[in-house]
Amino acid sequence: MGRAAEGLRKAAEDHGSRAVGVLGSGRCTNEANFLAAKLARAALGTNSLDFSGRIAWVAASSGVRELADSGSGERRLATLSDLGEADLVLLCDGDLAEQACQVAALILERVEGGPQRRFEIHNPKVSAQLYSDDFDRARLVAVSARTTRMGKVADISLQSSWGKEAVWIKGMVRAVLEIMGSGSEHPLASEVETYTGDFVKEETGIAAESLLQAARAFASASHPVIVYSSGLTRQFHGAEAAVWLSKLALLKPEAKVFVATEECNTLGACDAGVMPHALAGGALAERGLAAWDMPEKVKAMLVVGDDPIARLPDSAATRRALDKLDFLVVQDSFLTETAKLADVVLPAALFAEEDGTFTSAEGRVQRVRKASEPPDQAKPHWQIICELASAMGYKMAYSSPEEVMKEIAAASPLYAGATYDRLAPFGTMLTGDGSTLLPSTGSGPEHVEGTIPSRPREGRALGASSSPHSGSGSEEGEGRTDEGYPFLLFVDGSSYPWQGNALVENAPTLAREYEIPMKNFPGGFVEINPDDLQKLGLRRGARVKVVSRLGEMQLQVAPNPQLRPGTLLLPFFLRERAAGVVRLDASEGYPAFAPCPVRIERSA
Amino acid sequence: MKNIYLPQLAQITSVKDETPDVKSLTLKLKDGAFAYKAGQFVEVSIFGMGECPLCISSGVGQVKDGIEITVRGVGTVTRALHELSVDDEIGIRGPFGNGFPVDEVAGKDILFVAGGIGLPPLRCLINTVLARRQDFGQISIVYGARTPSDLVYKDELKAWAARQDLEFQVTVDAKDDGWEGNVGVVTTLLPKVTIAPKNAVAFTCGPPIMIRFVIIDLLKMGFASRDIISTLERYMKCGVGKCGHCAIGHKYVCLDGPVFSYQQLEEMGEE
Amino acid sequence: MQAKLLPEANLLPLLKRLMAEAEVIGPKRTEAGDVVFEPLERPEEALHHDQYVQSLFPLKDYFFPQTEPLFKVRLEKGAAPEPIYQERKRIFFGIRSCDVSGIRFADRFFLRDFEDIYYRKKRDNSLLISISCLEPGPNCFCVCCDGGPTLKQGYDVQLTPLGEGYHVEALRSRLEVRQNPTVPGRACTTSQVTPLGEDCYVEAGSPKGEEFLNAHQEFFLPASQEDEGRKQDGLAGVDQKFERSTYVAYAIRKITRREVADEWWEELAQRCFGIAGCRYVCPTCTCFHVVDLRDGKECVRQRSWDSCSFVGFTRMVSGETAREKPRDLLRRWGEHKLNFLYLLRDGRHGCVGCGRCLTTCLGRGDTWNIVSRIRELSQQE
Repeated sequence: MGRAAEGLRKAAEDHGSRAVGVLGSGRCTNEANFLAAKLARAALGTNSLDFSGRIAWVAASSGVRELADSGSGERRLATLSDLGEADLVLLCDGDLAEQACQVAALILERVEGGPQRRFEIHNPKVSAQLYSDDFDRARLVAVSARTTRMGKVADISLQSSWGKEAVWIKGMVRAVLEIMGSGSEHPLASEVETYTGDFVKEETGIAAESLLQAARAFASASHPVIVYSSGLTRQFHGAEAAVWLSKLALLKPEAKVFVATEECNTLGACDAGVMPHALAGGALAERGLAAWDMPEKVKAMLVVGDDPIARLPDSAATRRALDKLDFLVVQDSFLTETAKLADVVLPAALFAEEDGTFTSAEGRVQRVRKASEPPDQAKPHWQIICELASAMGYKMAYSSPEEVMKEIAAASPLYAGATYDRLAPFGTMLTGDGSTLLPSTGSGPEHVEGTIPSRPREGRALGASSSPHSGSGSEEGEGRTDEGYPFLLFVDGSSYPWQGNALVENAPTLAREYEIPMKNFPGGFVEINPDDLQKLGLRRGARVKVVSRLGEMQLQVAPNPQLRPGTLLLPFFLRERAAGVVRLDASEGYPAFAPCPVRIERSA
Repeated sequence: MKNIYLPQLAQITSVKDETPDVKSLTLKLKDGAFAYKAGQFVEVSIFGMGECPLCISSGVGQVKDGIEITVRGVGTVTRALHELSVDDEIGIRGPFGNGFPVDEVAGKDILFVAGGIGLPPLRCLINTVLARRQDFGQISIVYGARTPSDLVYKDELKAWAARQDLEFQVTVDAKDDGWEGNVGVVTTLLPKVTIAPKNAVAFTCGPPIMIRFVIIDLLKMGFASRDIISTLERYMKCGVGKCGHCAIGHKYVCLDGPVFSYQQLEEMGEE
Repeated sequence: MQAKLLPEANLLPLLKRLMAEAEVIGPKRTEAGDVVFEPLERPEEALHHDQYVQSLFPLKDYFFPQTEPLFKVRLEKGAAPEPIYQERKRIFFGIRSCDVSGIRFADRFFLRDFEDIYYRKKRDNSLLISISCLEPGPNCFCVCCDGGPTLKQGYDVQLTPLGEGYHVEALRSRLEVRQNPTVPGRACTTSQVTPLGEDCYVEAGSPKGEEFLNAHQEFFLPASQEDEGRKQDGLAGVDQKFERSTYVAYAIRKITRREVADEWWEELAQRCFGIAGCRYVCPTCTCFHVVDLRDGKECVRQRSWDSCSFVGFTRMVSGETAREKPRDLLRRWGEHKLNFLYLLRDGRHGCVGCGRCLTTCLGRGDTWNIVSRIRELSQQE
């Protein structure tokens, strides 16, 4: 502890407080995140404060802001309760059943009914009707770049090219406007004019008739809910897609949007101020470095429960940068890839070994309760931070996480009244005035119940930071395939979502599952449609060179019938292979892999 | 109450390189020799690494106070076994499995068809049968490997070839400079087998794909499916029918097998 | 042995006495409202049989722990492995018929062929005191699976509440409690349910059970003919209250005759999210994985719950995997739980109808959904 404190303090002394960065985590409690932010800003005096998981939220926050800025006065962010009343679900995603299975379960329930009764918790009012014999089911329109489980149970299933979500969404907006008879008077009309069915088909592969079918379904629904998760938000042009999904929702008065966050406490970490540009409660702050810029630009870092090497796109550069730091302190429960590079590792308790709260994707603050004792010297994150701060000369002492929450509530109007005694067993959605009601997107005393104020939760707003890895920017025709580069390669994290997860790696039975992809393809692999594989005359596992206009990488080929012909998928956990081959684009403020035209050559 | 999960210690008394990636180890069992049948297997432990099932390759009674196992180094445990030397200790549990029918086939003609690393379990059976040669009819052994260096038990093959009371054929898929024998997959030797299927039983072991083709040919030759006997390989952990990994249909390979007749395999279906 | 009566007034004193003899595992409610079977610290902690139907987790963790060390061994020459046993005396009170059925199934599985000593030692040191259900839970279908709501055999000691002398309000609130016993949103506190002056009909179904009744005679009264009548009355009509009755026997026939088409398994597998939560909460799932855990010079061999629904379950070092596709994995499950040939081996089929898989499953991969769907698809033909 002493070493850790000394190392950080020295770095701040030698290079200035700006030279120290702190990473919180979307997997840590609100209390831990809040104290991490306090340590960063008050003890260390730095605004370079972020968490890696925010990379999956940045795009969504653009979409949220679009809803908030609309001034429509209605609550537009869906709760799970709203999902119970939806008559249409538009799912735009990687593979929801893999990434956010609880939400997928609810959607399945809404679409197919059944005895599971999950909505009883979320919407007792409709649950009786939902499970009766004359169950009024919702329809499901599922759009993904892969054929997914949800796609198979959907009424309308569309397969769109990766990175082109904004295109079909605009096409859908155009179609919906036409169906609704708004014509050219609508303010959006000129923006979507060129997104005809044929254009969308050419760009994304979605048949014009199918898009029209989906548009009709959406237009005729009375309570549609749009659902998406990090399968969309981590993508190239994910922010544009999120914004246009919001615009689509705004076409209908009762339409709502639900974002299934990648980490369980993404919203909580944001609300606690673990962001480079805002404090807890949403007040803007002088901009510091984002998580993806931090390692290369600071001299020392404190990482609280985060694993940037596993979560950030440019893992190779992140690894090099972390290694070069003067000093690195990591608090975690496992020796993650990031922790292995640390000068000091402080062992932390797992979520089940501490008390605290987290804020779900719904905006619901829930308790997590200690179920067993942490082993040996491991302590809860919030406690470690207190000790670390105190060791650095900044007194920080709380008797319990409950006390920390009281301070959060005082600092952040949104959490006012979020004391433990007020939190119901399944959590509560809170507003700034301390009353309990279904969620808002607002904050501050000007918030009026059920409406969206003019200033949304700034804390979740999009910040424009540029990534040094972005290269020269996109060129005209960059994403275009041609004879020399006939395939489009995508890097995707929605398949194999458990790779890089320390809990999975360390659980004996799950570790066995986790090792299978690399055991099957020890050389690393790229997934390809089986028909394409056959046309190339290659067998499963053949070693190939994947060549782009920027570089090449050696991999084995793995057939995946979920992929559309002409596309290749490099799983996110193998993205280090793509360094120098696939461009990282940061035009929307967060690094995302750009769709990459490639060709396949046999390896020797 | 016996603890079926607790290994006994065994000491390695000899190590022999059979091929570039296959070794034979003889083991002296600390608790003394145990009775076993040809075709049974043991669970071999390297403490700290894990356990894996290996068939007993020595004929019954061949090794004093112990057994012999023949191991190809492919996984964590087997590669670790290859690193060991004489006097090193490992753990042994067993014997498990149902073993080959021996008494049941007395008086019959017997055809053995082995491929590559499939020879060890059959070699145990062959030696058990040869130890009471007079109880059986005609014997024919057919063995194939990828290359001459991949042939296992090279000395024993010579001994079998020299015997007058059995028919022995060997082939390789691809020859090397010194090889003057048959070239071709093991099924190419089947037409030359002189045993008639009428009063015969065929035992076959080897890679799954080889077994598939061998069985097709044996059926064509006229062997009844209940007279074609093979071993089934499955991922195993406990070896005693509890962990569930080797279950197929309503049977367990470690309890009801690993020896099954082709008729039984057909009945089990594809699960 | 003649049936007995346990007067309501004797229940707490009996629990108190048992707690002095062994660890008593009884039904408790956690802070969050879930029902669990855990060691009682005070007799009053035990929920009244009216206040719960079942816990989310089955009792199997007590006999076949989620992770269990088998032996430890020092990594040096000559060091022999030393087994690690747990032999604590336990009395399980207030468990349900489905759980007893599940435990009896596991008994037969672990003790047949090669006896599992770890399981044996724990079972030898345990006694099961179960309570028949008079009201099923929302997801229960034990009545279709020969797993409950009351048992004719296989139990140690079975209590059946004799429902007489209730207030009507108390009865209504009891039914309300039944709606969602494991959902804390409904406040299932004692204040809502009037403690009822209820005796229990007591039967011993095994030598252990008889021994128990003999050793604790002072708490029991002989049961009369009238008491038996009250018991039958209480149980009458329970079967009709099951919302989730389904066609288990029909599914067994279809699966045994291999009449469930590949396409059906394909469709069913589409709605399974591959989570394996169902396996972990199933009382009759017994598969396990074994690993050696090294810590310096010492090694512990540990087994932990496993599931046939994982791809790696049958994967060999060569990469060959017996069952890889979701359809094949689900078909395997059907085979093991419901094939008649397994029933012959294990004494009963592999589903006791506790409905935990249904409660847990996020998709439609649970027994109830699959069995019901097999019936639906067959009827469509």
